[in-house]
Amino acid sequence: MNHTIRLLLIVSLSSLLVACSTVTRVEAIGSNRIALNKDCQVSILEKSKLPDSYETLGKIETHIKGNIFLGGSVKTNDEGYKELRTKTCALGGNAFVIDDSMETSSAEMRHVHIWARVLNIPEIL
Amino acid sequence: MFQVKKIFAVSSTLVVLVGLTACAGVETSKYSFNSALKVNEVTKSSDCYDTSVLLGKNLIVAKEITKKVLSGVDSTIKSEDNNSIKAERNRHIGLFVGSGGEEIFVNLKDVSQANTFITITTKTGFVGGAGQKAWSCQIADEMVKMAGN
Repeated sequence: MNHTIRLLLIVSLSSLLVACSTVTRVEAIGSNRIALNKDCQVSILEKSKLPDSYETLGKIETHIKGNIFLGGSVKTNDEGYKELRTKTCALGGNAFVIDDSMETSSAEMRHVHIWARVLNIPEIL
Repeated sequence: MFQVKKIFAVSSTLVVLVGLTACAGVETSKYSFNSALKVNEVTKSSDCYDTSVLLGKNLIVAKEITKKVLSGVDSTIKSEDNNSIKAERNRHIGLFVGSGGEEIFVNLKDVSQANTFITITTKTGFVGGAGQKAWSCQIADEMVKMAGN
């Protein structure tokens, strides 16, 4: 019995100490498009260099946290871009633009918070 | 002689432990608005527990930016009214040191149609103080960055 309780405690603690976790909120805007494959082609655009013609398909707000001692270092242009690419494909977009992003750290934890828009740009197709 | 050394060692350890977990920071800022302040220039205390900035945005936009930055630093808003927000950083269990639990106090003062005077203070608690830090400087810097975008 004691052994079972100990095992349950270890499993519970391990699940709390995960290396990385991501919370993403997606708000679809405008026409619904068919979701593309997870690894679809996605362009990353700068806010100041948007083309004249594009359609906004959605807004994404994502928070990724990682524990450095468990190999969970997080960066905007690594884990952040990966998450945004996946969500862009799911919304049927072919580009995203980052409106704001923040990287913070406290003790063992590293955090990335990104606000982005998913776009469909006809000239990319 | 050995007893004296032992007592000294135990006392020193206790002092260090108390120091690591003691409360720090303030709830009320020492800074106040004056007409000599420059827009989007952050005034920081040396320990970053207390900061102020004259943000080049009206009160409504300044409050939106404040809330956005607070969520960006992984905190949850506990209470708010027209001119103030109280938030608390989310707690995380760590392998060695946990983090979170710091209280953040933001006060916004409408000084003109285009500018808002903001103070940001951080208060770290007794429990888990070792894994906590002052967030006021980073919050003010991010607010200025977002206001400029």
